[in-house]
Amino acid sequence: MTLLGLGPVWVGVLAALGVVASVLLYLRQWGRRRVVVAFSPLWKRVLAEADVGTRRRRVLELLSLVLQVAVVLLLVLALGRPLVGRKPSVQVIVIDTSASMLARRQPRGDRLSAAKQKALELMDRVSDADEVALVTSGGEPRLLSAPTRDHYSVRSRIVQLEGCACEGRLREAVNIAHALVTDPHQISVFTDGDEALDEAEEARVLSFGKAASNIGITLLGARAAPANPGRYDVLLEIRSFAATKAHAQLRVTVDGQLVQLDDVRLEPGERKIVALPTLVQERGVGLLKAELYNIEIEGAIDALAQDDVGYTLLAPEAEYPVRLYTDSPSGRYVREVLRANPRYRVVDIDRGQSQEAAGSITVLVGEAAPKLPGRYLVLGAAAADRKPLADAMFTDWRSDHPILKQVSLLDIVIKAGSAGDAPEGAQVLGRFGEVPLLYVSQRSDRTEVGITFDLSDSNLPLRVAFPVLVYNAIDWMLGSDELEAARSLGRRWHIERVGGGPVKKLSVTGPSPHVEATAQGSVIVVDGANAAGLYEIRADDETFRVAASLTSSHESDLRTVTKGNGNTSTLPRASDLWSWLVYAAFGVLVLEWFLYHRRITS
Amino acid sequence: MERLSDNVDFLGQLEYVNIAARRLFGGQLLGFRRSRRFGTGQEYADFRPYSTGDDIRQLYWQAYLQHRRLIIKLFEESAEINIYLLIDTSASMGRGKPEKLLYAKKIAASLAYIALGSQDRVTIVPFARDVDVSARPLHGRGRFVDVLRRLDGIEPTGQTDLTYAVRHFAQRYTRRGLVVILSDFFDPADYSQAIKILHHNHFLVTSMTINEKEEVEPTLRGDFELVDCETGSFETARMTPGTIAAYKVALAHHYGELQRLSAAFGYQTVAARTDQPFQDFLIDMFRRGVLVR
Repeated sequence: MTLLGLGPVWVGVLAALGVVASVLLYLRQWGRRRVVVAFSPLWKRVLAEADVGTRRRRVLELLSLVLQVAVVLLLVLALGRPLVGRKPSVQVIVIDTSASMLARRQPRGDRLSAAKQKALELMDRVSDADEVALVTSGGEPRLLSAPTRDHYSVRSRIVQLEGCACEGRLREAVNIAHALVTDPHQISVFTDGDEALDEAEEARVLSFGKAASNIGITLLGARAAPANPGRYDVLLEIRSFAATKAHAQLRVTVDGQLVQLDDVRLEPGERKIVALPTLVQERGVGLLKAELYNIEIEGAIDALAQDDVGYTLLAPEAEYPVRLYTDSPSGRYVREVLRANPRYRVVDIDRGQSQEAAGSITVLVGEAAPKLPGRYLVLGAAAADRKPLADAMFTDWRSDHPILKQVSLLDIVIKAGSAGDAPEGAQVLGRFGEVPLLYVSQRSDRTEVGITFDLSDSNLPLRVAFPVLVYNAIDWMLGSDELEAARSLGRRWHIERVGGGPVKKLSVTGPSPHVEATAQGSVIVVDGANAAGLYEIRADDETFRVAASLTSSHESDLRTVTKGNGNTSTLPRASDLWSWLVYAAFGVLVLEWFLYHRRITS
Repeated sequence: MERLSDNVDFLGQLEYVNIAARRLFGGQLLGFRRSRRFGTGQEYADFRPYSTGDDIRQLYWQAYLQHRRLIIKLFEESAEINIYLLIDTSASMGRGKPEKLLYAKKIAASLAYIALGSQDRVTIVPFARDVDVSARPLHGRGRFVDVLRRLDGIEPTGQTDLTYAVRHFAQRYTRRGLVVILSDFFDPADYSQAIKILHHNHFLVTSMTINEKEEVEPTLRGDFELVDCETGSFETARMTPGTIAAYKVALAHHYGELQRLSAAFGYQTVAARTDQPFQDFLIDMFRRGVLVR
């Protein structure tokens, strides 16, 4: 038992005082007043008859004292607010609000409604002393409610939760939950299942929904044809996640103009790639919309509507300035690599101009990056304390990092040379033994990706991996989303105004009513875009158009539901007894009053 | 204690009671019970034939001249009543606001005033355990001052023993008459014996029980030590509604004996409470025929 109110010492002191006061008051009633009467024999006769019940009355008086003491003890204990069942704790509720949770269930609502209902049932089991936090995992994982005892507000937030037509990031949401509590058992995850969720987490995972059939657009991309400006290649992927045959009609429009109408027939589990003929878009940025309708699945319904539509922009290829300074022979490899990418506009700079220009990436070959804010790709920086290398190679690297996406470092050899050290606090992506060879360093206003060895000492510039590595590094520093024609729903978008200063006037419009934009220096952050469609962000005199779609095979695949390992009833109920103690005290008081009444009237 | 003789208001109230008594029953206590004896009074009553030994001064000469028969005129004798006012002066009569004894004195004074006004003889007899038999009957309104003086000299003290007191009273006062007992009848012994003694000695008895409100309707609640004002003995008691109800029953039973004797011996009994003005009590009593018939 835990006391939430008064401490044990105070409870003891108050109980003792209360008992003493009750006993003193009880004894006080024995101090009879003297009254002179005219004729005591009459009273004597009356009292002689009444004395028949004296012993019984004494017992009742003693019982009254016991009951009064009990009332005092109960009330004092209520002041202590005893909690039984389990100790007060922080309970974190993680609710998956991703698109798959919006899958319709027949005849009832969607999976999210069931999850919310279950979460509210869990709220019934937490005591007033428990703190509850709420985390959602649709799009950006969000801590909607920090640990609080204001359960009403948490309940309100649960009730008001809306699903998001976006990919779930349950793993990250659970990580947030872990940051709030030490014991995984204090985490309850309400989801339709996520294979990525490690069962060893020991979190209470409650899964909702049954396997459902669905077809949807899982990929939609458009790119400007490099050789023909104004022409676009569009790639569309439609997948069936049904166990039976499915049929739908596909309609593709650009700015409302129909460009393709097609019948799509899908076998169970079939993936269909639809390559549209080259589209000509001469009127600037066009919005391409692909839509599936009249969907028929044999013996089932299309459970998820959010993936039946996709948007993308037929936008001119963005051109990003990349500033290059090289004082090394290997600089020519770098220059060629940069020039080979039409998205980059390479600008040669001199020593001393390496300070970042607004919105650009600075590539330094054989030169250390300045300690100033900016984004730098440093290839073989000169350093005083370099470690000698001979026949060195990458013995360990982080292949899961975006910079090393589709990059193989297996056959990279540094015959003879030296390597500098990674900056303090940098994340080492590749190393030879204990010698860092590739690193990223991120601070709030400065990003640096670096190769510590001289490129000319290795065969890296001659490998296919080199241009991919350079592009990945630059794209990563730019922000990968910025190069996509369509952005993911639910995510936080960062849009950098190239060459722009602080934004003074900012607005955003789009299909999601909750979308909002804020300016952080020259970067515009858009948040709350939960519905597919076109969003327009107006910053001062500039307008940015962003198309957003779900297009996630992971969310569209409703065929399996991961089995959960928990139940709301597995959360031990903690009972705050103070109200019951007050009720009990009242009941004892009524009993005492009844006895007193019986005593004085009998 | 308040002196009646100094109380001008009381004297006014007394006159008010007297006037009311005159209007109600002519101002003569027990007017309908007076013996119809013929005597030397002024009121003409009847005629009868002359017989030897009759006073020839009573001959009705006009009748003789007319009928030649000797007729004697009979006159009603003006009968006077001895009224004994037995006032309980025990300590219990000193209780109440106003004191029961003062209330009894006022009633006694009122009755005495009325009685003296109708030429009755009034004797004030205070008693507790002992009885003061030194008092002589008073006659004539002029003696009312003596009545007041005697009443003012009474103080509440001692224990009640009505039987003992009445026995002494009956031995001392042999002239029959009306006995009005003004008492709370809180006698540890059986007071009915006293009534029987009076009845046996041919006294007409009227009992007036005088109580204060607290005695009739006690308001005590809680635990008390009850001390008897006469004996000093005490009882511990818890005053509950049940106890009070039982007390009321016991009190009613205590006075029930008076009612029973009243029915058995044909005397009158009446109860007074000190929270009622004495004049109202008396007028109400006269209206109900007490001390009138």
